[in-house]
Parts: sequence; structure tokens; C-alpha cells
Amino acid sequence: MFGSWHKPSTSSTATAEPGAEQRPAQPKPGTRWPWSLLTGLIILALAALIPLSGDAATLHTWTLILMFAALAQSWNFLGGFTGYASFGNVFFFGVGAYSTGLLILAGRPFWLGVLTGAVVAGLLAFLLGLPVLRLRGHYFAIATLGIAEATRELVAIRNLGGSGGEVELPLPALSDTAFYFLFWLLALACFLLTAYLARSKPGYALIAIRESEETAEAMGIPTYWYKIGAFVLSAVPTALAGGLYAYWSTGFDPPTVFDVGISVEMVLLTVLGGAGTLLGPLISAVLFELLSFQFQISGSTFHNSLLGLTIAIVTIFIPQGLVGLVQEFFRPLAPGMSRRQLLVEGVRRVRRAIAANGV
Amino acid sequence: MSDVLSPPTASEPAEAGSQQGPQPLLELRGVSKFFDGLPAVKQLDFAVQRGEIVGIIGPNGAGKTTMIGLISGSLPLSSGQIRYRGLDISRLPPHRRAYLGIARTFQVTQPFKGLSVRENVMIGALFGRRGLTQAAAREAAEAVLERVGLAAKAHFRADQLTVADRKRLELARALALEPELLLLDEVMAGLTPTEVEQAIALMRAIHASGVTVLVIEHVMQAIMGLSQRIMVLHQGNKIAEGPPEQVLADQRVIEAYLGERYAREQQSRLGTVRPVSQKEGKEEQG
Repeated sequence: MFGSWHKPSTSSTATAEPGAEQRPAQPKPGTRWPWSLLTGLIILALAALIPLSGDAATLHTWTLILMFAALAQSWNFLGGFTGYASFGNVFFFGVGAYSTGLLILAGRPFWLGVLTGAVVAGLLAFLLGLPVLRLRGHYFAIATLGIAEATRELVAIRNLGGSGGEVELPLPALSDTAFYFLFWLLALACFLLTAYLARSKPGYALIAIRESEETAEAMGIPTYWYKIGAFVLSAVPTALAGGLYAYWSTGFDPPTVFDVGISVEMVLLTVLGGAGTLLGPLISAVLFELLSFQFQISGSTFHNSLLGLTIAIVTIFIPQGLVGLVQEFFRPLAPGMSRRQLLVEGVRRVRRAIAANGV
Repeated sequence: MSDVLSPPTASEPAEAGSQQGPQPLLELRGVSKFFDGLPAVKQLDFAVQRGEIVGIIGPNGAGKTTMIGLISGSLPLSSGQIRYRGLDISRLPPHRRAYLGIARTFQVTQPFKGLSVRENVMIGALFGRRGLTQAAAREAAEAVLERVGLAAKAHFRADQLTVADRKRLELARALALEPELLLLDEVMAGLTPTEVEQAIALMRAIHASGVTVLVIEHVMQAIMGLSQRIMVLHQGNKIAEGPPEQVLADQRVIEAYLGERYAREQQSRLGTVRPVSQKEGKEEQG
């Protein structure tokens, strides 16, 4: 990744039409990207080996890790890239779960339910996005939260799928390993989609909206439609995860699949890892979920407090997230710096970032 | 106060200093903007011919930036109509107007902070009417950055730039759209006299390449050096319009800027008048 800075510069004094070759070569934006992509793919490849352990508990833990990796990455499309923090994305999880549950109860195959859930969630995201994405900041967060909460109540009151919205499903025909790989595929798909966004034209539009919506509009970006697109993109994988979860769990109720806690977890994981980064949500899903399970296994009655404390410390000291901090380290300041200079500068900058944010 | 409310008619603003073309590139007809009932721009009639370079001056709070916001579409009109190439664009969202060839800079600079300078400019070429591919947009960005003198800082993150460079970036972003009509909102504020000279030369070059330019500027040196025509706003009203020398000699303009008494005292030094409020730089921003 350092190589591109040392290309010989063919600067000429000619007054001819200036071309890109006439300046010292500079790092291309997204130089980090192949490394992030590679790291992510390695993590996912290693995750694919988990079923070999043969340990049911480990498999269960990692199934959830992959589910949360998919959820956080989906949230990242809108919350991270576009800068619209939804606190109600669990709504789409619930939609996916109920679509799947109800169709299975109606005697349909589970995959039809999961796909239906994704389509329904996509449509709902579009329709809800029309009014809700006219709101900004806190108002958007509150509106999405409200939608999810209202739906949870509604499903319970209407006794959808069973009394109080409780759905009992037959035992799945799939093995736990098969479920594991379905979640794995979903997490992989989300990761590749993020990788595409990180350097594609639509991705630039979303980032521009996050950085300054007014400027983005002035630059010819139809911000409203891109936001709605990001909302739909965020909703569909979330619903797929909900559908898979429904079949896997064999039974669920509104408080489980419309749990605000899941929404919060999507936000937390993304922000802790680095909002708007390729690797952030994936890495933090692995790290923090493992940590969370470790705290639980250790049997302490205050494992949630320990987890909360960890989260508070990370947010206070590195608000740009774990990956954001690493990126800060590698951000090129000037072309042609030696590796040693880069290292010194990187350490200085990271220390400054922590100091500026923390104390 | 000498309020000269132009008659709200559909007639062509024939009193404009320039010759009456077949159809103005930009035309404001009876345009008003109220913020919570407070008028920022009142019944404004104003037209710009294709190929013109027009200066807009006025004391702080006169409604200049509001006017840019109305033309670019970031602020909705309260009443009136804005026509561009004879087309009513009053209700078009900003990105559609950018697509039609209207580009603006922001007085309070609003770069995409987390992105590099190059990416900031690239986005203008990537979207909008040019719709270039990423590789082509990157090349276009390099060319524009070279033009405004930011090429050496292309890899900087936008929030690392100095105020003067941020102004350059604003200009570069707007130029990346290859505009037909360029709205410049105080891009020279904070520049040194030498840099102002360079900026004036750059704007002449931009204008010479066929772009119609509307300049808001407090730097009189720039306004006088650039504008073929000047329009003066005061408290949301157009109080004068015409060739630079004529406008600056206008009694109402001097009063608006410096107060009536000062105007009476200083009538002998008309040519060297500079606005008092030059460095405050605060203006209503929608």
C-alpha cells in the first residue's frame, strides 16, 4: 500500500495542458480498501471453519455473531455511509421473522417465507422512507424507533400468528450447520456489498450526503432518492436475517424480534467498529459478541455492566471506532514520506485523536 | 429609506445596464423570501444575460446570500418566479438545477470534510450533467484543481485546509460541474491582495471560457475589476443597478453602505469608498 507514493514523478516545466502525470504520484483514495477487503475475507474464511470444531455451543455463539455481523453491516449502509442513524431497524428484522413464520404456518416452504419477508421489508422501507427520510438527525432516529415500537404492540394486539403474537414453528428440516452457513452467506453478501459501496459511485453519493447534504444537492446528487435507496438496502438483509432467525429459533414473539435492544446493538457494533468503514461492523461484531459471551460464561451477575463499561470506554476514547483509529494511523499526510516518518506521524496522530476526544 | 420597489410585472427589466437580449439566461420575477415573516428579499426583479459577469453588492444582511440560495434552490421561494433559459425552475430541487448548469459556492464553506480534496471535486464531475465515470471524473478533478491552484493539496482531507484553500475548494467543486451559470458567494474573503489578483484573473478566464458569472463580493477591488454590471441590494431591495462607476456614485448606495451623514461628508471621495463591514463576514444563511 505504500508503493504508490514512490512512483517517480515526471514533473515538467512545460506550460502545456496539465495532466495527472505531471505531479508526483499520490495515493489513490481507497488505497486501504484492498487490505480491508482482504482482512474481512480472511475473517469470514476463518469463520467458515467454525463448524469443524463440532462443538454445539461454539456453533451457536458464532451463528449469532454472524447474524449480528450481517445486521450491523446492513445498518452501516444508512447509518454509517449516509449518516442517518436509525434506531428502529429491528422493525425489518421483525417483518422478516413474521413473514417467514406466518408462511411456514400456512404450509409454505421456509425459503419462500424468507424471500417474501425481504421483498416486503424492501417495499416497507421505500414507503416509510418517503416521509421519514425528510427528517434529519434526532427526528429521524425517533421516528424509526417509534415505528418499530408501534409495530411490536400492534403485532401483539392483533394476535398475529398466535395469541399475543407468539409464533410456534415446527422443528426445522435444516441442520444447525446449514443454518450457520446461511448466516455466513448473508454476512459475506453484506460485506461484499459494503466493499462495492466503499468505492462505487452510489457509495460516493451516500458519503457526500453524510458529509454535507446541502452541498451534495448542489453538486447534482438527488439526495432524497439515494437516501431511500440506502434505507431499502439496509432493510432487505435485515429482513433476511430475521427470516432465518425465525426458522432457526422455532418460535418467537413480538418482544424478541421487535426488541429495541437489537436496534441498539446494530448501532453500537457499527459505531464501535467504525461507522462508514468496510471492516468496522464485521470486526466489532466478532470482538464484542465474543466478549459479551465471555462475560456471560464467566458467570458474573454483572456481565452486562462489564460490557457496558467496555463500550463506554471505547466510545469515549475512540469515537471514530476501532477501524477509524487504524485508518487515522495510515492516513497519508504528504506524498513521499518515508515509512519511518509515517510511523512517527501515525503514532502522533492517533495519540492526538485519543487525547482530543477523551480528555 | 429610499425603497425602490420594482413594479411586479412580467415585463422585461429593460432598465438593466446590458442590451436587452432575446431571452435572459436567468430571470428573477418579483421574487420574495420571508424567514418567519421577516423579509430577506422583497419583490426582486433581476435578469442576467448569457455571457455576462454581474456583481452583487450590499451591506451584510442585504439578502445577497439568500438570493443565491433562491437561485440554486437550496431555499424555497416565498413568492415570485425564477426562470432559467426561459424555463420556470422555481420548484425544481437543487440537484435538478445543478443538472441544468447552475453551480454555486457556499459563503460558509461546506466541503465534504472527511473526503480528500480530490474526491470533493470529483463528486461534482461524477454526478450532475457530466455523469463521468470515476476514472474520468478523477482526471477532470485534477484539471480543475490545477486551475484553482489546489493541485498540490489534492490528497489533503478537506478539513485540513486553511480558510483560503477552502474557498478555492468551493470554487473547484462548482467548476467541476462545468456550469453554465456560476454563483460565487464571497470566494475571495480571506485572501491576500496577491491571491485576490490571481482569483480575479482566474474568474476572467472562467468567464472568457463562456460561463455566465454572478459574483457576490465584499472585496471592492474584485467587484470593480470583474463586473460588467453591478446590482446593489439593501435590506432585500434592489436599490441600484448598472455599470460599476455609475452604481458606486449613486447616492442611495453610499447611504446604504456608510450611513447618510458619512455620505454627505465624504462625497468628494466617492471612487475610493469601501464597505465598512468587510471583515464581519456574517450574513443570514438559510
